[in-house]
Amino acid sequence: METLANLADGFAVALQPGMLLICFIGVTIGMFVGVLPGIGAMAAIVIALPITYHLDTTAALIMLAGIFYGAQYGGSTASILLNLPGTPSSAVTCLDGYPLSKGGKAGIALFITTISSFVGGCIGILLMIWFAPALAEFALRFSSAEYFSIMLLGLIAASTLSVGSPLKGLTMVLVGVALGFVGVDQNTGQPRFTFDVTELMDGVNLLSLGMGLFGVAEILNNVGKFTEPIQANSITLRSLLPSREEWRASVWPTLRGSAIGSAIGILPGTGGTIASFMAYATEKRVARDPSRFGRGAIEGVASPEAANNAAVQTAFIPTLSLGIPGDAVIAILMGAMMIHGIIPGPQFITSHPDTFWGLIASFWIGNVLLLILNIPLIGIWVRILSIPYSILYPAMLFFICVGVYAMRNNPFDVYMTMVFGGIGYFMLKFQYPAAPLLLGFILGPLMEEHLKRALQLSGGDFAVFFERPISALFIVASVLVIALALMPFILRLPAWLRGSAAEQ
Amino acid sequence: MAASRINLAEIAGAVAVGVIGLIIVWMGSDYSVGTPRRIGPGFLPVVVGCLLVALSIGLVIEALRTEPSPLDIKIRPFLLVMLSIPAFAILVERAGLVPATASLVILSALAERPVHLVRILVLAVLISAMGVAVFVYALGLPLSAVRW
Repeated sequence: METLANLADGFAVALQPGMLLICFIGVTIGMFVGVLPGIGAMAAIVIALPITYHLDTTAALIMLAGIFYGAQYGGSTASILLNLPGTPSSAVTCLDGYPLSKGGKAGIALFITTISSFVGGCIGILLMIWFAPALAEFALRFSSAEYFSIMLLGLIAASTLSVGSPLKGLTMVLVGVALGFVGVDQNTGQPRFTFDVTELMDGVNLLSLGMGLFGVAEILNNVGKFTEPIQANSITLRSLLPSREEWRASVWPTLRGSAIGSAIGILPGTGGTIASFMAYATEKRVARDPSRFGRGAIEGVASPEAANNAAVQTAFIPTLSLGIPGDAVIAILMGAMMIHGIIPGPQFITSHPDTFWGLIASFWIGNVLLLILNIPLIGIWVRILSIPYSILYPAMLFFICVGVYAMRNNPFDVYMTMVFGGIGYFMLKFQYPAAPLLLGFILGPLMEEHLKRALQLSGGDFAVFFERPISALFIVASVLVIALALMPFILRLPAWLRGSAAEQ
Repeated sequence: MAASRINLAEIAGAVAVGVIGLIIVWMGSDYSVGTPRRIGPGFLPVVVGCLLVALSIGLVIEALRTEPSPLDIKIRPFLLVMLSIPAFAILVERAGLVPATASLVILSALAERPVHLVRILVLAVLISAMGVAVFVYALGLPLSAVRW
């Protein structure tokens, strides 16, 4: 009952006209960038970040979160119509979505993905309502040792459980932690890694880093890529409606996808992309005729879309109840909360109930808005696909530069953005992932603080991390994740070394 | 299976990681490391730096075993986009938002081929006008449209 009362309070916050407008703007921007290939949710959120400085905390979070889950909805549109994933998590949707669209069923595929996204999102929100407060209450007993261990697990999971080389992921986490060192040490007042630059005394700023790595680098990578004007066929409202069999074929995949997505979203460090891949693999395994997949199976779009939307919602659980972001996009949101003076953690829900429940209520409202934006207005989104990138990216660069500059009217921040943009571009080219770097940057300073405190309390005994059962659990899990991720590399190592010795 | 060609670019990247690690260890050991009971500001940097050096060794081994893939770095768009950003930063203080925006848009838009000069100029005018309307008038940021 208390939950319902809280939720009602949340709706009272989120249904204020101003908040509704903010939520609408957020999901529309999200939908917009999700639809457009070449702009990800990450770039959109960092570009919108400076705007939210002028809003109050709740409004800022509602808007940024709206961009985030709005982009998940939009991402599937370009996947289905053009075989171009608008966001990484909708890459799987291409596999069956595009064949469906070539077979003249684009409308049905879009409709089913919208509905299954909605269902996935709703299930994720329900779980969040139940889990987040309970987890927060449990976490009130955590001491610094537990926090350090759980953050360690989060960083390791985020860097190794993704596509690509786990070594590169781990490297990027550590580089992020190292970037977090820059500035005056909180305990001793000692400036670290500032190279005597005054502007670096209070650290590398999140905005320059995020805009560089995710905005500028993405533009550098995409310029010249989309030179052909994109043409997509128009979609009529009539062609959207699925047949009775198609409805029936989508029910279970949607629910299975939601379950998989929710479970993966809750884990710190894993997000929508992995969830959608796992959901697709599961559908293929349980299908009576797996050969239909890749040729336009409706299950192949319903399940991954449900999964990534569920994961996006449940990823807020560890963030809001423990202060540990589920993925890089949420890490940016957490950064935005910290800029507004809120440290996400177990106390957040009880000390800022308006913000927490208002945010949850806005998720429902946002999901309903997206449903409305998607189904009747699908024709508009299809036309948005044809906006040429050559017009978009100078505008994006402009928003990046103004946003960074206006933060404290210092051109230095703009130069930093350029530097991080260049670095980010080479990271992309060499396949060093940027998301773990950002997580390391945000969690690093918190981890250092908790490490320091835990060791102070234990009198310098590192065993404290193993003696407290919950902390020990997280440490063991971290070791297991690392071992699993590096196993293929280690197993091949002797053969490689022998091989290269034989060559010489 | 041995790689037929050595992946120089990847190895250079891996070595760069190691060099960064060494620099962090070297600078970090200047800030006191402290004792376990009271770890100093240099403790974690030294640990992180050492881990980076270890990882770079792993990355070199990994790079030795992968076929080089074409890097496909386009120099012209890279330079133009990278230049457009400091151009904005310099001009926004000295000449105001409009010249800064116009030069940002024109420089960066030149990166795309083929160059449509008229379209670029129209885009520059539109984005500058929007910038002044939104940031100077609507949001009231302390920026001037044109500074003399």
